[in-house]
Amino acid sequence: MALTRLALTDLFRQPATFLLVLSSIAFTILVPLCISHQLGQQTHLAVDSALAFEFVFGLILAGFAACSTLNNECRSGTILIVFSKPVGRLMFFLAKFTAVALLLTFFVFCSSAAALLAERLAPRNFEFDAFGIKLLLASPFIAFIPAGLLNFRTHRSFVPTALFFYSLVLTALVLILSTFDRDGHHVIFGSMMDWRIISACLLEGFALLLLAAIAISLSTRLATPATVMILLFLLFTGLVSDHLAGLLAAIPSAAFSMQMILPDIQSFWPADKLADGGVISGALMGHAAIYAAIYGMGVLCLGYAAFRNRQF
Amino acid sequence: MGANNGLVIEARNLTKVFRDFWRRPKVCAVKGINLEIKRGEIFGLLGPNGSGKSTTIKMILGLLYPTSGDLTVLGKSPRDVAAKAKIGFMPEESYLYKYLTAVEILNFYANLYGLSGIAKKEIVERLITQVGLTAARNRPIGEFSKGMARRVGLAQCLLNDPDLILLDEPTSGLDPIACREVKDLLLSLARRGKTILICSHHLADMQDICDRVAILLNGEICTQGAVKDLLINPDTLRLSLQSPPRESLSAILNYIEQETGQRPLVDHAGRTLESVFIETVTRRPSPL
Repeated sequence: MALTRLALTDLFRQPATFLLVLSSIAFTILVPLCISHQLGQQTHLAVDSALAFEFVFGLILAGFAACSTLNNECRSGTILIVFSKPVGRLMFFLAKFTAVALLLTFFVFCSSAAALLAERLAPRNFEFDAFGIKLLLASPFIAFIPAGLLNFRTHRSFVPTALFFYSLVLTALVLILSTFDRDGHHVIFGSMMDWRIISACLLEGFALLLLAAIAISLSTRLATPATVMILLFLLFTGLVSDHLAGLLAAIPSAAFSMQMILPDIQSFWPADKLADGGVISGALMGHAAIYAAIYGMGVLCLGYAAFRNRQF
Repeated sequence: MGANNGLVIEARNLTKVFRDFWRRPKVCAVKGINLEIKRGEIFGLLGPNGSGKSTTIKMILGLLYPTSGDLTVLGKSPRDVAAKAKIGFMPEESYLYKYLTAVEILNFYANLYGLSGIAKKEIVERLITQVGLTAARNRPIGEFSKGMARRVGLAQCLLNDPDLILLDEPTSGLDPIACREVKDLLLSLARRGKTILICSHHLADMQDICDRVAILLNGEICTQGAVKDLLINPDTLRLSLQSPPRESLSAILNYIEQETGQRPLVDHAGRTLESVFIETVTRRPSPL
């Protein structure tokens, strides 16, 4: 518990975490506002780009957080002091994974809010949601000014406070825009939002947790650049794993091995399922969660085996 | 205590070979050393850089695994996690989380020892005061000077009131006053029955506080013994006198020369630079 809390605190205080989370939110919300291509697909594009940004930034965050909390700890030597205390290696390894998983859960929460806002704020027929955009523009000030004042008055670390406040402001923004239409008129709660996005983001969240398990296992031996590169490779090959298995169909054992080794990221990509008003079923979510849990545990076992006898 | 025969650390033919990627021997950092460190002793491991001091300490902590030989710490294997509840370790560098404050770091390490509530708070407060970090308690470690970070390192090492304290270059980066305070603290801990193993190449510090030392060179112990035995020169005596009148001194020297056939050397008793520094700094009022 103490290890997880410290790792999480350390991760939240790192400026890189702040930049990655905020960049993901900014790209998710602002890109649909800037795209001039319309063809009646603006909200569809907003959702697709939001989900893509969640995947890519989440993957980078998973790689960075895993390496920052485990590999950097080995390299910088802080692990020497921790292991001079009565701390078992399994406990340490699992605590680090839990911290990364919790950080990614927070990231998925922020991404879900950002994706909901992106869909809501996306221009329809070149008409912008002026009411929503004004609130959006005010949101960083509402979050960061109190965080700055707290830092000034109490020396409380700015980065985690600002992140926490901004997540609250984003949530408030979603709730406010759920009760008002694009002209600022009161409507039935939720009628102006596409809530299917939440389950889509959650589905991606399972994939990110799976990738976090891979990242923490890789980080027992590899530094950040190598870990992120491997994660990117797994993401792209995982997205086309069915196609690759088809190419290897002539050699069943090779196709089977490849399907066992590569994570089936395709199962977690929700954009296609949302197209044409589709929904993500509970069965699909359950299947994805079980797959992520089993694959993740397998990877964590391998990661622990690599970490158990590591010397410092 | 859990140690056998009063021995807190016992090493027999301890060897550590580092290997390359292909498992070929790369360097033999420690070559068959034998160590016996008793309870309540301050033991110094001396040696130049690369002599195997830190490797030995890491093996004692279970961070590195011996290639061969036997090693017991507090009567148990160094890899025994539970035994580490009785060990305190201060590494050579201040390996601390730079985004955390001194209080947060100490609270974290205290949690790892299972301390909680008022007991934890009291210990952390006492150590923060003891190492002189009261004013900087809520500043992130990343903003600390090397000496301040060393003080945090020392504080975390004492959180669990350890029976065995392992210190790698404990006075490195400290000013002379802090250095003296640390040495006094270590002496008081040894008087309370704590066993202390220090790695250093600050020979003056080691001479001040160690009961026994071992000198490592290229992974081998070249010399080992009590400091007073190693420093003594049995063929030479030193007489100390309050400066006598010139005539008396001359008579004494003539007498000694007459009796022994040797003309003794005469010089003034020296002071250490450390004592001059501490006297100067403590006498002068602080500008603040």
